[in-house]
Amino acid sequence: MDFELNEETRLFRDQFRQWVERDLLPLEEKEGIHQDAPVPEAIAKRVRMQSADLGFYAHHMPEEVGGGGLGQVVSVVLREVAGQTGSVLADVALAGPEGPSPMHVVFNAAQREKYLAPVIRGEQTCCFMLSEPGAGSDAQNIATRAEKRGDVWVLNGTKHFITNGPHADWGVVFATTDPSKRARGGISGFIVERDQYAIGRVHHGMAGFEGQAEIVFEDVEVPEAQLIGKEGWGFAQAMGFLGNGRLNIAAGAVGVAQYLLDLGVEYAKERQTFGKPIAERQGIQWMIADSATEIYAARNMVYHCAWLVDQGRDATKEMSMCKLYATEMVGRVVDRMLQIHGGMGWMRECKTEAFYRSLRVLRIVEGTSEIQRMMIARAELAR
Amino acid sequence: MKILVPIKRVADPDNANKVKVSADGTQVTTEGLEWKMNPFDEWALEAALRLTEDGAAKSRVGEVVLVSVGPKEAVATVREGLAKGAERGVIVEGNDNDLDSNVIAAALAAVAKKESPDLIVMGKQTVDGDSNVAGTVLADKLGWPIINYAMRIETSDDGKTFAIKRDLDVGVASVKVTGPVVITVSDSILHPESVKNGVTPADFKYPEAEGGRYASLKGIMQAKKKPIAEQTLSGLGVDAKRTVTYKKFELPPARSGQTTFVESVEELVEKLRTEAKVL
Repeated sequence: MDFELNEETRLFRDQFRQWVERDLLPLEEKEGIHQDAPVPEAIAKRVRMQSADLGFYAHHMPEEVGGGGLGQVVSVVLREVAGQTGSVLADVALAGPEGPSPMHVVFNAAQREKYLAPVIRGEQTCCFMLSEPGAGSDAQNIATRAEKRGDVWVLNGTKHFITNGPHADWGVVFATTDPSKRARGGISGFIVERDQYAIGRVHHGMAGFEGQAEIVFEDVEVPEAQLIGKEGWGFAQAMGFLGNGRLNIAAGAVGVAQYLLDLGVEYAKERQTFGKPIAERQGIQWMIADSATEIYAARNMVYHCAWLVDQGRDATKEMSMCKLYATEMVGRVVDRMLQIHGGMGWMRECKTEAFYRSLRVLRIVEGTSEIQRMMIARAELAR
Repeated sequence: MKILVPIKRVADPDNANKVKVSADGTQVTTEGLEWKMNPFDEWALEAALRLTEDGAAKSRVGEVVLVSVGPKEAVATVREGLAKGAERGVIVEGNDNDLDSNVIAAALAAVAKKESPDLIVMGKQTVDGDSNVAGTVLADKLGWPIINYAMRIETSDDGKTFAIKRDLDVGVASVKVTGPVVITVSDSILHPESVKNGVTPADFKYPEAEGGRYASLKGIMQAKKKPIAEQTLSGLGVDAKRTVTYKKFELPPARSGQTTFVESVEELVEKLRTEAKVL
């Protein structure tokens, strides 16, 4: 058994960390970028394009579409480093729902050239429109309809909580093309361009700045050339890639947890009460010990799961386990580290405050903890 | 133009608190340390790459050969340099504790004689030993001129002659020198217009960067195929006996971390004199 990363992966990771620490963090400081303010688009674009140039942005995409062709282990390594640095722009530098996804590989040659290539270069962004007011993780219940009229598909419906919706140059939308079949060959995927849909209400969460947009389709005509893959099978194809997103979230959670633990340890050694540092108090030590232990567990789960993926093995259950454990874990860690900081930890000046809010959503996005447990239980009960 | 760039792996200066001294105080223990390229060497490599490329067209027009004297694991540091654009690497194997500036300079001189570069560009010092002598001793062994603390380098005849500005405490010294020559660089060499090689358009500006360029994924993949030759000190005919030995290492006293505010300059001076006893 070998837990060492290979030389290229270590070098790639170290270059990423150096870039974040030397370029991105000072840029954040200079531009006053923080978790609760929008990243100016010009800066975001510059970071994306530089990331693409260095090979970070599309490292996970196949070489045939201009990506780096690297595996899931490398992805979790980079996501963990991004979290460890506490950098906002590091998240911009690694593609989220606004960037290239393995799901886009099902695009045909013309679609890859027109839509995917500029996103892989970091010049454009996209979005992923699946959720609806009446369909979240039970996505097969989507009400958005696509009907064939002559040469075009006509789309009607509303999507919501769409990340990057207002800024995207194009998006992938899922709509029912055959209500009798639904998820078994009745839901198709389409590429829609920015001027083909309207932005409705933008919801703002308890942290963050972008807002999650409502996207409205009213008799939108979409040419056949924008249909993704085979009619009726877009949904099934997309579902195959949702697990990767869960694992990436888990990896980011491990990194942020480590960042927060480091903050807590540093503060515990500095802060003196009753004549000695609070780090010498057992109550504080247990918080640190439990956090370090849980981070160790989560990190090894994430790395092992990524390794399974790279071996070509089915890791659907393990991805849910990683997402469940790591996001619940980082919630406990941020709570403890805020507590170690005492009153200061609750203040806006302290980094723990913003993370306490922003991390809460990780237990909800890409399938709630309850959905993950449901999927894990199903897998166990099916044995 | 062919440039030899000596590089060394050093304990990560950002994690200096992890450096430990052995119980008997005779050596610094390396266990658990993270390693990275000596920052001064990163600057030298950046200067060498700028001298041997068309910066605007992003094409190579010369050759950079990296040489590292140290343990086998230093291959990772050489590979990093190759991933940033250097053409080849040479590793001269040696245990860090058996090396001093003289042994290293002798090894570098032996490699330089084999390679016959137009120029050697190196960091002015390494951040571990901080001796700041290897470059000068190397130049002495080769009988070449040494130009320390270069902040600007210009050449327009493929490296036969150089106009160099030196970054000194008292100001900037301008010199002209005919190669081959040993140059050590200061951090000002990372200025966007610090290097002019007659190939890159004269108005081209490099991006601001704290440590020089990063290795891209493409560079990392290409570096896997670039050759790294392995040499030994005895194979190069180098007398590997160190002449400088360290008597004892000790860590600096831990800082109390306490801050005392004073009301006036007079009070500060008084405290520095009577309490801190530094005046």
